[in-house]
Amino acid sequence: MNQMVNTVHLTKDYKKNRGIFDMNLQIKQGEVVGIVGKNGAGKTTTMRTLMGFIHPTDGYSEIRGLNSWSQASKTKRMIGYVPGEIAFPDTKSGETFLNNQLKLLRASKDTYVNDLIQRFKIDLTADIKRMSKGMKQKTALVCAFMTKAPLLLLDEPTTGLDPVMRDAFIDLVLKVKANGTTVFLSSHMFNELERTCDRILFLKDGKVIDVVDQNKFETIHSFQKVKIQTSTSEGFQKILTSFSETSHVNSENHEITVLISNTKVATLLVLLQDIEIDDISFDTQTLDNYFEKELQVK
Amino acid sequence: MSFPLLKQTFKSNFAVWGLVTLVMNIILAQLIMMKQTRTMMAPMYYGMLVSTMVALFVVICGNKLLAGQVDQGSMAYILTAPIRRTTVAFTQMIYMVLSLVGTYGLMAIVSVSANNIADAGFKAQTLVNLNIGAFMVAFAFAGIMFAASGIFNLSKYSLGTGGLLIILFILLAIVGSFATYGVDALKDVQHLTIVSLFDYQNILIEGSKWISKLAVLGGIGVVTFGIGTTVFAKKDLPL
Ligand SMILES: Nc1ncnc2c1ncn2[C@@H]1O[C@H](COP(=O)(O)OP(=O)(O)O)[C@@H](O)[C@H]1O
Ligand SMILES: [Mg+2]
Repeated sequence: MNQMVNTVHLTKDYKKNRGIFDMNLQIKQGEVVGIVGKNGAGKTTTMRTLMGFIHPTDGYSEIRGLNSWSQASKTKRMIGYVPGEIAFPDTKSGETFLNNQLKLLRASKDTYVNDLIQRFKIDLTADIKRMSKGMKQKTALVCAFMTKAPLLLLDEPTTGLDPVMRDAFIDLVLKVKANGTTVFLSSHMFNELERTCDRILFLKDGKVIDVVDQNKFETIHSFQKVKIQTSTSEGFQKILTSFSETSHVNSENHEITVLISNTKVATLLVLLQDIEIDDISFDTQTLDNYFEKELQVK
Repeated sequence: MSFPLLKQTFKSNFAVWGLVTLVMNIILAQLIMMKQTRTMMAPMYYGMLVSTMVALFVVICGNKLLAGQVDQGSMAYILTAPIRRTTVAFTQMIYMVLSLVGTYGLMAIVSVSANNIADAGFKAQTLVNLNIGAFMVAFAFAGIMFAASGIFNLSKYSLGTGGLLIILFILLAIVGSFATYGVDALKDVQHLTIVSLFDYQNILIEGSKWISKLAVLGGIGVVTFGIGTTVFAKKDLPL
């Protein structure tokens, strides 16, 4: 079995319930795994531990069987990293920086690097101190991908990217995934990961409280979020009593949002025959709704 | 040691190093060449100015070598390369020591040359010894700053401890130097600063006491460089 990442009871306890706790995570080679959670959930702490930048207070983590703390200089040979906070050294231009970085990696500027630069439309002549957040993020992405490392650890890689660049990023992740690269990436935007990830871990207060895999994706997508506004309060009451699972209710406007499985849509439509409706919309359930619900329960 | 890193460090610190080295050499040459200042050269330059000026470079650069880059976050890019942390610290230390060797080596050459040109009457060996002594102070300063830089993740703490300590040593040395001019009560102040371990007066009279004192400065430097490297290799880095 080609295990790329393995964490065993991995814990970094910053006290006061902060940090990460008892994380047991296995990522196989070629998998793309996402980790989502609100600010402060512990995503960056997880990444830093895997990078060997911070020492776990309990448990350990391994990259291809090598301990990420004690054998950090070896594990980093296998990792391309995008830090959560991007700050470049004081060099003149993006070009100098990338060249310096290639020298540190003992690599040279080949067609792949140029391809990455073009893909993200990076202006290498730009003064590195005057770069916008998005430009810095793109340069950091090039830095990580150009390592051609078998494992990419990307901490909130799409921060500051515009929608076009976000798509370019997703394309790139799918492309390297096809080549067998393993990707572990974090995000605080739940939906963003759906297109790339085989699995998504949901992190709350440093604990993995849910894992969404392909099966669960399908289950989640098999639900409809139906937003209905009725003309009368009788109609409103009728829906309210028939459907228990509602995510939003506003009795003043007669507005109600129900969550129903695809198989129950027919039942809803039958019920709606006798109800006067001002407005209605159907949306397939997304991870956003799903996690919102999860958060309320747990 | 990592050569690519050494080169990057050299480049990014060249301006400060070059400026400080240039100014130090010009002032030294001036003091030796001009007749009126010649007798005051040693107490003024080696007793005070040299340590003050080099401290500027040591504090600014020493902070930047480790703590500054951790604070800023750019250390992440160095450490994503397959480099051991000890190698990073060691390379930065090598840079610091080599650049000081460069500064004081140049000063030895400049002072001996100025002495010859102006026929100032110093023995060449005395001038070389003065520069060796001044180098040892710089070496100890560098070690102290390096330790602070390796221990702390924030520039403000690194500068607030290492930088402040170095300034304090210099101030005490300046105050203590008045003991030479008859204020005997200030003699004890000299024991509070490592700068006085550079016994330039003993070098001037061609004594031998100064050698063992310099060994203490060397010891301070070695230990503090060691502390900086060790702590940097073992601590958590917010990168
Ligand atoms: N060095 C540290 N000391 C104390 N607490 C920390 C430290 N680093 C992170 N934390 C805390 O740990 C929690 C997780 O932080 P982090 O991993 O950065 O979250 P995320 O990246 O998901 O936003 C936060 O509450 C943060 O304040
Ligand atoms: Mg974070």
